[in-house]
Amino acid sequence: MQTENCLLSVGIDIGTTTTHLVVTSLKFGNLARPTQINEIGLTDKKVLFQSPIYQTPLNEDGSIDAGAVAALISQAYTQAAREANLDMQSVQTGAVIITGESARARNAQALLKEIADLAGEFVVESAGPGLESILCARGSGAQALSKEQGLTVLNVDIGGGTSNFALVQNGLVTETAAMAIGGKAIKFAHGKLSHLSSTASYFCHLLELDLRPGLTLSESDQKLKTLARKMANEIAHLCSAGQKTSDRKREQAIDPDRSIWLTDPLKLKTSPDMLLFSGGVAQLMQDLPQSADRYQDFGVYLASALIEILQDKNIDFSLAPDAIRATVLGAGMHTLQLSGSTVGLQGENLPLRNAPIIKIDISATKDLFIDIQKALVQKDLDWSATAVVLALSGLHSRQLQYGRIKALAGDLAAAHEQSNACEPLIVVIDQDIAMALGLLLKRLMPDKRIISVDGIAVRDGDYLDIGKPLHSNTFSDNCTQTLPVVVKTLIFYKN
Amino acid sequence: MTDKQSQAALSRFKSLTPARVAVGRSGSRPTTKALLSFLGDHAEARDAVKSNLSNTYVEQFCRSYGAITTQSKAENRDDFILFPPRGKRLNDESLAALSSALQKFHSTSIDVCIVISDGLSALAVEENVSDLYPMLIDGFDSLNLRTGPPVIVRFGRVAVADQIGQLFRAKVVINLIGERPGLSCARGLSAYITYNPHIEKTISSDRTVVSNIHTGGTPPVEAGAFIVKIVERILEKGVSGVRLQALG
Repeated sequence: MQTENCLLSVGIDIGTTTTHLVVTSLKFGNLARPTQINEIGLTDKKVLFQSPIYQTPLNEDGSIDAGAVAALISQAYTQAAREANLDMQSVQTGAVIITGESARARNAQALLKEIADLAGEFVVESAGPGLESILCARGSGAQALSKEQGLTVLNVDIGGGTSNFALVQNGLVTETAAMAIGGKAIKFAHGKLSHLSSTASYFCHLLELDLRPGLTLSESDQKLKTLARKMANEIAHLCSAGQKTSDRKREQAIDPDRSIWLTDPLKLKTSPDMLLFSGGVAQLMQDLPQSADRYQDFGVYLASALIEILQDKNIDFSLAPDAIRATVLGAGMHTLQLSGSTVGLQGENLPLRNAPIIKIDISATKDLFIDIQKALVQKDLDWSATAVVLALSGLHSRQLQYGRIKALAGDLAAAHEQSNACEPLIVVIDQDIAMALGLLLKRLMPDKRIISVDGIAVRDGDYLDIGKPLHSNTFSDNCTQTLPVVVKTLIFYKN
Repeated sequence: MTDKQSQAALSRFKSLTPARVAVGRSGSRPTTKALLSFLGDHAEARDAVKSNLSNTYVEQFCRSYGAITTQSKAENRDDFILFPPRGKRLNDESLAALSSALQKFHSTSIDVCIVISDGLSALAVEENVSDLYPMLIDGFDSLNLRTGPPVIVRFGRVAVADQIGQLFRAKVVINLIGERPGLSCARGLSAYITYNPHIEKTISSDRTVVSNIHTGGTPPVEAGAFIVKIVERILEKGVSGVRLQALG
């Protein structure tokens, strides 16, 4: 029974600096009480294998060497099979997350092509800063902590190229943002500076620091420390924004410097109860190496400056266990974060990728067909060619009468027919009635494939990935079928 | 944590349950607000237990769905509450009426028999069955399962469905029954689903239950669709209750 309820999941994080892979065993169970409709959810996770942290291989021009990345991943697969005695063929789910600078378009395209074979069944995403922030908060444990203890947690994941912020309130990520500060702001080689990121150059210019490739580490040490303090200050400033610090004036003086943000600057409407650091730089904060150039980059400077400044400012903080793997752990759990009940579905046409979501407020609609058409035109979507997700909202829990739901099913079926829309008809509804709606739809359109899902939150403009149904014998009761569903919020970097 | 933050966290945790947690106190006594809400909910629960299916409701349901109205051996509400076993069997008059009404069905077999009992909350029936019942009919029709006419039982308990189901020679009987009211919900409905119902052989562990059907719990329409799926599985496996659960 134990093994039946487990899924083998792989998470692969291809970041600016590092690439790594984890194999996790995800345990599922019915979270609902007996005599209630099943609610399948993640009950436990166990990390079975962690690959070494590889340097992400780069081409001469700084772009990612996709071929070499694919080779690394297949090497990690072999190692996982050997060391952890895993049958990698039986991996049922997983996610490849391309993060940070690597997510920029040219890199992502090339990577997707190379690893398509390896990760055919996986959800492959280039994570925009929003999603990456969410994954980090999930993997670092910030989300679980916030949910269980009712705390507001600010998770700060500082990686190679980016720092990702996520504010988690009661287990829900309410704000995300990313800035271009990370350990790879300056790279070292042979005791000398070898490369400065645009952010690093920007700050040097601002502070009038003479740092450039070719200078030795020893002659630049003081300047590097100054730069690190400036960067650390930018981060610490945000973290303290909500906390009651003594020097209010100073804070107001620091206006968010928009040029370092990859997204809109973080605005904390609520002050966090707790500050949690994850990512590669947090790993360094935990265990500061003796030599500053241990990883051939600026990371150690940044980590020690952060510790100093946070202590100076008297800001309490915690470091995530397994900090550097926060994203990849989050990614492994990510695919199966959500599930719903479905009706009238055959697995052979799944997985379905990148189905665009259009949100329709059915409390305001007079003619569903017209409203859907309007939304399709607005988004330039062709429903006859693309399976669109209709996200219905606006029904109150007191409005779930049979007659009303039946009329809704009728309107949906008619709209699908009139639009000459393709299959499957995918409906997401924000009330707990997916099974009823699916059943009624199936009666109206018995030859069509229908996916009806509830229990997930989506936004207009999001995309949905739907995986193959989990094996029906996986759960103690197959009355409700559970699909791995991923909601993707694609907010790309500004450039 | 500041006090303000603790308050926020506490009110979130409180919002997760309708139970009376963290209601505060005044000295050794409850606060007026907590006491009043307790008395109010208690009164509502008592009202629910004492409620009867209104004639209007029953007549309308009969008109819409051709239901047969029956009564248990209990003579009235007080009798039912004071002598619970009487609610487990139909009175002779109802039994005779039901038998004659069933004459025409016995040439064909009935897959699913649907019983509607007031149980300990007639309010629950009146509030939820109108949305749940048509879902069942649609669902069973989709599966090509044959249902008999619905049977309404006044002063009925769970086991009365064994007798009715057996009389129908139904493969499965569903008893939609008003739950014993609690202090947080007086209008919850349950569905007890039994394979191969038999007046003597069926025991409690033979029943599969879907409970907490009401607006604040599982919406009745969704419960209807869920019950259809459960019945489909019960028929496939040929068992219900704990034996169905044991199949995994």
